[in-house]
Parts: sequence; C-alpha cells; structure tokens
Amino acid sequence: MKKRQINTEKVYQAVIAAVVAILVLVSLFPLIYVAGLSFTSQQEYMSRGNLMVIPYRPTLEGYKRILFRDDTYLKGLLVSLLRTGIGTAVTLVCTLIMGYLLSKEDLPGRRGMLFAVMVTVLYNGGMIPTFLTVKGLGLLDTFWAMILPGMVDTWSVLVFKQFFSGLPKEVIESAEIDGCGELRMLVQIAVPLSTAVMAALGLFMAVGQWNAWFDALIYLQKNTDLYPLQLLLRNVFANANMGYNSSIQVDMMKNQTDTSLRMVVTMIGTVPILCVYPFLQKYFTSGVYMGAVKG
Amino acid sequence: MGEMKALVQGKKKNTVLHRMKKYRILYLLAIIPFAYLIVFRYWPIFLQFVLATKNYTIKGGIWGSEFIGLDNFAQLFHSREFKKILFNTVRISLLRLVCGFVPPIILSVMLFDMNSAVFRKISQSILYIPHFFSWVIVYAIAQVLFQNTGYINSFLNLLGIESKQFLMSERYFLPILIGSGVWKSLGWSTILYLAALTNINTELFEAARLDGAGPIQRIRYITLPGIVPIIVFSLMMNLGSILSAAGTEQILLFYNPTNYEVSDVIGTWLYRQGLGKMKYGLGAAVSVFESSVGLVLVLISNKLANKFAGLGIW
Repeated sequence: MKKRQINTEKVYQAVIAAVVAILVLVSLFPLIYVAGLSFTSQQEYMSRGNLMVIPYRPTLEGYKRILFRDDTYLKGLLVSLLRTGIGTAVTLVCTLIMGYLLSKEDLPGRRGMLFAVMVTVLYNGGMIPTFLTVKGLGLLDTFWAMILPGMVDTWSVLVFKQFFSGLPKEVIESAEIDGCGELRMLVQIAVPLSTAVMAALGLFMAVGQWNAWFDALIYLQKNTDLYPLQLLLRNVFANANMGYNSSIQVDMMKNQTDTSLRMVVTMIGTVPILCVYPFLQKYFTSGVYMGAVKG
Repeated sequence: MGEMKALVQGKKKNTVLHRMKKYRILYLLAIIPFAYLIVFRYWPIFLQFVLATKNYTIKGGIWGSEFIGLDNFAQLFHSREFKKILFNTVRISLLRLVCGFVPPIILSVMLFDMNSAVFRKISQSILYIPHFFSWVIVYAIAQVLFQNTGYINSFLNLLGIESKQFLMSERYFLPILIGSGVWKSLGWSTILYLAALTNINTELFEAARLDGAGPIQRIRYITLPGIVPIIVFSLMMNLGSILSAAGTEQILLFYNPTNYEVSDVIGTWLYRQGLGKMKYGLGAAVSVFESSVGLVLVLISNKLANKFAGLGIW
C-alpha cells in the first residue's frame, strides 16, 4: 500500500516535470528563434532554409543597418524611452495624489470624488469621442497625445487609496501633533512609506508605456518623427498601407524575404523589456494581486 | 474649565469649513488630476451621447450636424454588419475564456506541487516572460513562424505537406489568434492562483500525507477546494468583460481583409470604419451600446462574485 503511494507520487512528479519543461520550451523557443535569425546574414538564411535556429556565422550586419543607416529606429528608441520615463512619472504622481486625497476619511466631498473616480473605471467614452477630445485640444501630432490621455490610472488610484487607508492612524496623528502640515505629511511621510506600492505600480505602468503603440497610431498621424519603437515595429509587419517611407522600411517592404532585418527590429523592441525583467520579478505577486482584487 | 474649553475647541475644529481649510493644499494638488478626469474622461462620455444622436458630417462638425434622435441605434440594430461584429466580439471573448481559463489552473497546481524549488523558480521566471511582450512583438513572432516561408510551413514541407496560408485565411485566423493569446498569458495567469495556493494551511497536506492520500486525492480534496473562491472570482470577472475582452489591439495586428468575416470585432470596426471613414455618429452609438452593456455586465458579475466567492472588486 505504502509503496504504491510513493510510486504514484513519483509518477505524478515525472508528469509535472515533463509538462512544465515542455511549456518552458514553448515559451522560450520563439525568442531563441527570433534572436538567432537577427544575427543571421540573408545569404546564410537563404542557403540553409527556414528551419535553422542558430547561425553558423553570426553577424551584426542587420543591427548596423537598422541602427545606423538612417536614424529612424534610433529616434523611435528615444521617443519610446521618453514616453516611458515621462509618462510613468506623470501618471504615478497624479495617481498617487488622487489616491492619497481619497484616503482622508474626514475630507469634505470625499464620497463624491470617489464616486467620480468609480464612474470612469466603469464607463468610458470610447475610441471616437476620446479621439475628438484629443483633437479638439490641439494635441494631435504632439508628444503629449501619448501622455495626457492616460495621465491618471483610475484603477491604481483605488490601490493607492486602499494602501494609505491602511496606514496606522498613530503615524498620522503624531505627525499632526508635531504640527506637520498636510503637504509635508504627504511628501515626508506618505510617499516614503509607499515606495513599495509605487515601485510595483510604476514598473507595470512603465511596461505599458513601452509596449503601447495604438495611441501613437491614432493620435500621431503625420508626425512620423514621434513614432515610438513599437509603432515603427508594427509598421514593418502590418499589411496595412503606410503613408510613411523611411528608406529602410521601403527596403523591407520590397524585400519581404529579408526576415533577418525584421527580426533585428523585433529584438530592439524586446531586449529592453528583458533588461528590466529581473527588477520586475520582485513585484509580480503584489502587482497582480493589487490589480485583480481591490478593496 | 480647561477641559470644557478643549471640548468646545475640538468641536469647532470638526466643522466642514475647518476640515476643508486643513486639506486646502491637497485640494490644490488634486486640481490637475480632477481636471484630467473632467477633460479626458467625462467630456468624451458627454460627446459620446451627443454624437450618438447626430448624423455627423464634416461640414456640420460635432455641434452643427443634424440631430436625428435614436436613428443611429435603429440603423445599428438593423444592420447585418453590427450583428456580425457583436457576434465576433462575443465569440472571440468566449473562445479565449474556454481555451485560456483551465490551463493556468492546472499549471499552477503543477507548479505548486513541484518538489524541486529551484526548478519551480526557474520555470516560473521563464513562463512569465511572454506576458511582458507587446502585441506587436507577439505578432512579429507569429509572422515569422507562420508566414508562407516560415518555420511551421518549412516543417510541414519536410513532412511532405504543402505550405498553408496561415496568416491570410479565415480558417486559421482564430486558432492563431487564440493560441498566441494563450501563449502570452498562460504563465502569468498562474500568479493569482499560486498566491491563493500558498495560503492553504500546510497542516492539511501533512494530515493527508499521513492518511495515505495520493496526489490525486490531495488535489481533489485539498488543493482545488482551496482555490475555488479565486477560480469563481476570475470566472465571473471574465464573464463580466465579455464585450471588452476580444482584444482589439491584438486583432488589429493579426487580422486582414481575407478574414474580416470572423475577425472584425467592435473595437476594430470602430477603428477602421468609425474613425477611419469618419462614421462618428454611428461609431458613438456603438460605443454607447458597448459601454452601457459592459457596465451592466460588470456590475452583475461583481455582485455574483461577491455572492459566490466572497470576493469582489469593490
């Protein structure tokens, strides 16, 4: 009896190991394939066929062509970095202020403000009215069209509110007795106490900013100089007609077989995420939990 | 006497006016975020209702165009196209739910039961990575694997099977869309379940071991019951977002005219027809429908989640 038990447990462990190993491979393979092709010369790719994964003679030719033949992608990289930095900072500050305000239980008008936030969580104006608002403000084709429409993350407002409400009352009361004003209380007590929440929410916001392309697609119609990397990448792959022609992109469109160049662009869009990934890991569980179950 | 004075003062300090004065700096700081809410959140909602009742023309603009009451809605509910995009939206959301709901539960139980902590940690780190890629990257990967001269077709050729037009067909659109979605989210979706699993009392597992329960009994009587609330909660939330979970961003990348019949959803229609062809009035009517039904569904599902799982989003 005892022996059979141990055996089923062993079989079970073996099954788990096999299934998980396969899933890990499936998660990893496309990345390795993309990376491999990005270092492959077009000649080698053509001669070896499409089943190759690791190049015999790796080359940086593709990277040189994409990054240095004209400045399209370098500019895109810069825009992406700027929107990630500025967008995350602005959103984080505004979101924190709102959450902090709503955590003050004796604040006159608190319930009304909370309701105003909840409404926007539950109901949104939709693509066209939002577009017309951005247009009406004269923000089309400007950098701020990628920042302002998402300036407050209303979901995260509720997370901050929850966090600040949970702070021990004694901390605030003793600060009040010490004659600490509301501004100092926010800057010197609340903000330092919330660094973990800020880091978790901020990192996820930053990933969202880095990965965003749709807002740029609709709000930046003519100003191709402001295209973030993800939109440039999308234009390389989309079958959609593009009123846009950088010399390299025309090159790639004409020469659909130039897979390795396309993979170089993919790598440039992927590697920065992989670089911050280790720092993100610490916040996974708390981030997801805050995102899913609030209040 | 002194006590009385303090009491009176204490009372005075609690008036609304006094509290407003106390928080004046915070009100001042909150002007910008609240202005944002009004301009970028409430104004579009208002515009949505205005536009939905208008026969929008470029010449008339938002305010000058003719008021037509509920004609846009009447036109929508009679149009074959609206039925199609509504059907596709719900179908794709449901397919995502059917294909993507159970695998993370199984995977999280497996990860939780894994004996080797090192192997588990490494696997988790790798399995979570795809979640952080943009849909553009996911499409790039799908394209290089499924294009006519791609990896999959080359492999098929090797087996003597002819190349298939994976990316330009109605037939393969849904499997590739849903499959790549599951690929991206599978690992990540386990996090919530794993967090719930670690909250199960370890004494239960110990007792089960002493009672001679095997892995199957253990899963059936301890592990799964331990995460039922979270399972019910996520099921409810998924059902509540049935109109918004089709994944406009992903579909905009993956679809093309060869498969509009199965791939066109509310969001992609709004982009292509509403925004692209300036059907603002009709588009706003679609948004009113989408947002209102979505609101009702979320409210219902949250209520049900509270009732059946004791968990809600508020």
